[in-house]
Amino acid sequence: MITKAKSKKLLAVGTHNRLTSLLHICYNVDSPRKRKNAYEKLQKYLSTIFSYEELCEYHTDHLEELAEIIQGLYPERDNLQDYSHHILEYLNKRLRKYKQTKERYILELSINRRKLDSHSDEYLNLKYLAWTYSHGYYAQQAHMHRLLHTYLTGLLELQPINK
Amino acid sequence: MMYIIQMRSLGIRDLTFALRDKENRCASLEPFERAGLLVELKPEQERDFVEKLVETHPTHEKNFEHFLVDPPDKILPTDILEALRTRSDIIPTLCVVQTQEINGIEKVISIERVRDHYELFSLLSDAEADGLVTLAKGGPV
Repeated sequence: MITKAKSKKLLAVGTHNRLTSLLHICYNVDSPRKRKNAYEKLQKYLSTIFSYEELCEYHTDHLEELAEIIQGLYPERDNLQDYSHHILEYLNKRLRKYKQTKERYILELSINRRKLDSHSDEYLNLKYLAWTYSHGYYAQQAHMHRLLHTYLTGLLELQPINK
Repeated sequence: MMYIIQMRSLGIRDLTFALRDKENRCASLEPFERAGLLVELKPEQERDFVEKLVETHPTHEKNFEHFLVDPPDKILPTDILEALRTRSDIIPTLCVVQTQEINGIEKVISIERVRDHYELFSLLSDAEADGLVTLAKGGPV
């Protein structure tokens, strides 16, 4: 659950400035090695807000999205209710879509497990796609969206205290 | 255990594996070759290889970007199989396969492309530390 100290950190100008600077580096690096370093720095900074265990399996796309939304909190601090509701609506929509697609792939996989030869191309592709939703890229994305949802909901609850 | 898989002969675009500083002039692939850890992927092994790629895909990567070179979005295992057959540009020249013995069976735990000589050199140091390869005099470490 979000603490008062964390809610202050989320809305702090320092957090906004640091994330702006780190994201700028991430967008503009040209070599894979520099890119890796830039995202490691972003992950390290985000782990001062979230726990490292929550972030360690995230793809760089997810770290970037998480950072962009947190970065947007400070400029919208006077309009936090509207901004957060807008983001929460987006997160709910994405999570609903994720759940539907995951269920569809799991169902398809269980049907085809009996129908298809386990060495067929179709089964191999389906197995991979189902994995992206159960453990892989989209599962991590949904994890990040749920994490953000929890923090933003907590932030809105604590907002009267912050004022 | 670790194996280096060579997908194609080294060409002009693989100069990145040849760049070494003065202190590390030994050919980095040679010790692997001497130890029998440098292998080629035969056509009949390609299907199994792609299955292992799917099974070992890290959760923090997408589109097999830990193995492929600039993969297109939403690439599927069968697309990789086709790319392997033609050895297209998305297939790396070298990759490292790490295996581990689990309940007496040697299982593949990761497959990653070797990006440059730094990575190759680091693998060589690890292999030497594990006693998998021996280095010629004047080599790294």
